[in-house]
Amino acid sequence: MPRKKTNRKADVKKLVERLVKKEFGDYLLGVRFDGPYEEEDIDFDLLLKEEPNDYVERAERIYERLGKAGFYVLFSHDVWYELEEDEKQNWQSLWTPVNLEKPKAKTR
Amino acid sequence: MQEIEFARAVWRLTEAIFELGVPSEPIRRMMVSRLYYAAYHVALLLLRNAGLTPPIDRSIHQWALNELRRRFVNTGRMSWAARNALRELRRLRNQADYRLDLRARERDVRRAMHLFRTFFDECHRILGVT
Repeated sequence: MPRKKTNRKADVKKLVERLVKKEFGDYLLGVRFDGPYEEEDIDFDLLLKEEPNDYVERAERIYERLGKAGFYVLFSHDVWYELEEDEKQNWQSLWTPVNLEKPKAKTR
Repeated sequence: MQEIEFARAVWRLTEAIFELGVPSEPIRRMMVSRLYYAAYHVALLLLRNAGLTPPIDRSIHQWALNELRRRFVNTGRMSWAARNALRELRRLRNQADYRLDLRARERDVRRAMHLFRTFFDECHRILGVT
């Protein structure tokens, strides 16, 4: 079914947030959305605590899933230890911090 | 192959600029952008050599990534890392050209150089260029 054009950007952002949390989990500190600039639906950048050895595979799964949903995106990433001092000081204004939901403890 | 010559020239220029010291921000933006387009032209060369005709519109960048996957990655002739390098290089180029509010850092250029080499070296091998 064709997607409503007005919701497209919101839809892709929601899906991206879900996928990056799933793929990068505890590596993930923040996300920054921008664009779209040319033919893509959205661009985004990840801020990671460190780069997992299988970064390419994880990234590919995100692209794959978004592609199947009909979205064309571009993304890149930065790693915490490579940031310059001014970025480390203000990282929460440059990336939106990601809250990873912890499984709720069962209550009796 | 003018695409290969262009890519080599861009690489040499990029290295030469760094030999002079850390480049200014506008130069850093240009370096990232040129590295992407140098890699992109090599991608088109590869695809033309495979018998494909690139579309003549803005979808050509996405088309190139899709066809590299279909013709080269899925057939084991190119690594996922090389294709991802071209895609990530494009993302860095978008940021360099459109996000003037975000500083183009030295590490962005270094990363673009690394991505360029990852992609270009594989294309070089596939094309059998000497």
